[in-house]
Amino acid sequence: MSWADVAVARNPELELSLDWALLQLIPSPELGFGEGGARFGLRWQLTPVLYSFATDARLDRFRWLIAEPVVRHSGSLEVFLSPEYLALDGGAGARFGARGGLRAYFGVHGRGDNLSVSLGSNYYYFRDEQGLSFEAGAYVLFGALGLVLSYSPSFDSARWLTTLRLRYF
Amino acid sequence: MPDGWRRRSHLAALLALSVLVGCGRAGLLLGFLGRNVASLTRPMDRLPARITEPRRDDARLAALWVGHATALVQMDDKFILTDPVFTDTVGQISKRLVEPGLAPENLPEVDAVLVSHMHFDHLSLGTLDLIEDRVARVYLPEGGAVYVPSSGVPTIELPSWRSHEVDGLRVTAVPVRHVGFRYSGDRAWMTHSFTGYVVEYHGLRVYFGGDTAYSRAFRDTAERFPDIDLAILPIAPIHPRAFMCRTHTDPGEALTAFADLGARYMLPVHFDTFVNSLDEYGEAPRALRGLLSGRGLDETRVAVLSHGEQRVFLRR
Repeated sequence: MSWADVAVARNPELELSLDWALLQLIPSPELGFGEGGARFGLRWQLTPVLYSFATDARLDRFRWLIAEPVVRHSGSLEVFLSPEYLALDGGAGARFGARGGLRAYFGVHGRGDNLSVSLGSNYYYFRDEQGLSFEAGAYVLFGALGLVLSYSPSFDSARWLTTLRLRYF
Repeated sequence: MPDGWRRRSHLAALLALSVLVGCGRAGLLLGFLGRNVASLTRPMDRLPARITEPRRDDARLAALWVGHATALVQMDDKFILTDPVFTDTVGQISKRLVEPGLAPENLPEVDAVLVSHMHFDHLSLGTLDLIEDRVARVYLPEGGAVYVPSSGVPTIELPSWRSHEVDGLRVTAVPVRHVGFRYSGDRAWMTHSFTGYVVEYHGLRVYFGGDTAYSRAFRDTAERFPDIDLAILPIAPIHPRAFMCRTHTDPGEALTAFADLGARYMLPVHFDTFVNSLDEYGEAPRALRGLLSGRGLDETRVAVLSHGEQRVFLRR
């Protein structure tokens, strides 16, 4: 028997797996509202880097690509990149775009396991539309299910966007 | 048979087997999910009376079963709380069938919380929020701290056979056979975060198995910790056995583990509180009681408690 070192906590050795990669393919459906009515869309999420300000200080607080749900939703700041399909006018070339930005999560209940919220902003890029967007979201089920509302002042075709965010991991 | 044909046959057989295994697992998951969803509409059973003052002045060793793997153990003047879950649901989709056997506001000052592993029914962050102001420290398995964010309470990771002692209360992590992940998507790297514990104080020894399958780890523990006074052991989930036996003891295996540990008393836990299997309500304690006499045991040594019931094992 030996004594534990209380100053030490073990960092997880996160690794890319096929399971994780397949989970990232699940899109989040969305509806855009603007001139011309409602438009359906799909969004995928990638997190190049995330800093968790709620994670135990003995541990590495940065995550690259893979972030555990509680690490994200208990309180974090993430850089995100979202490939996106939005049924805009102008054919297929006009409908595929992406947005990238910064989002902060705050755990509200159960340290983010039961309820968390987010605030963020991003820059969206479609062939015929580019600009700034602002967003707020709320998430339950350890972040697996969320609702994100985005406002893009200069995006006439989809000024308001509601995304049902599905993200298991 | 031509080689190409044989390879294709093998491939087809492998594919069919994969589909069968996949369907089996999916069916199992759907079965659990269906039972959980059904439980959401069922009102939670209320207990007729709950203990409001769990401290027993006449006790050297006592335990109160709160429900599932949550037990409040009194060792002289110290209190230990195992895998605390006081919330109405775990993971927001599995509803509690019976209210907690102790209201969280009636918890005494807890000297040590023992978290056995990372599953939602054992590590409840909502519960830690509720009780944190009465907890001195939380013990976690190795690698568990990453899933306990924003903690206002010291958390201590204990790898197997490592100990930590404060004010004469010594906690040692001991090996069990289970899994360490929380979300399944993390199973590739959360491979260490499950444990059992032995707690020692004033010559008393309590074993907590958390969630575990049967293995020789019980005998290994007994070799290092003879004379265990109380073993808190899971007796469920039972079904489907082929799936559960890799990670969970059934009543018979729990009794074998109890014998392996050489403990004086046993407190069975981990049954009839949340839906996490295909077991019927009451099945696990009924099966356990049915096995006692055949093992030369009775309910004075194996305390099959109801939710909220307290038993004094050793008096002053």
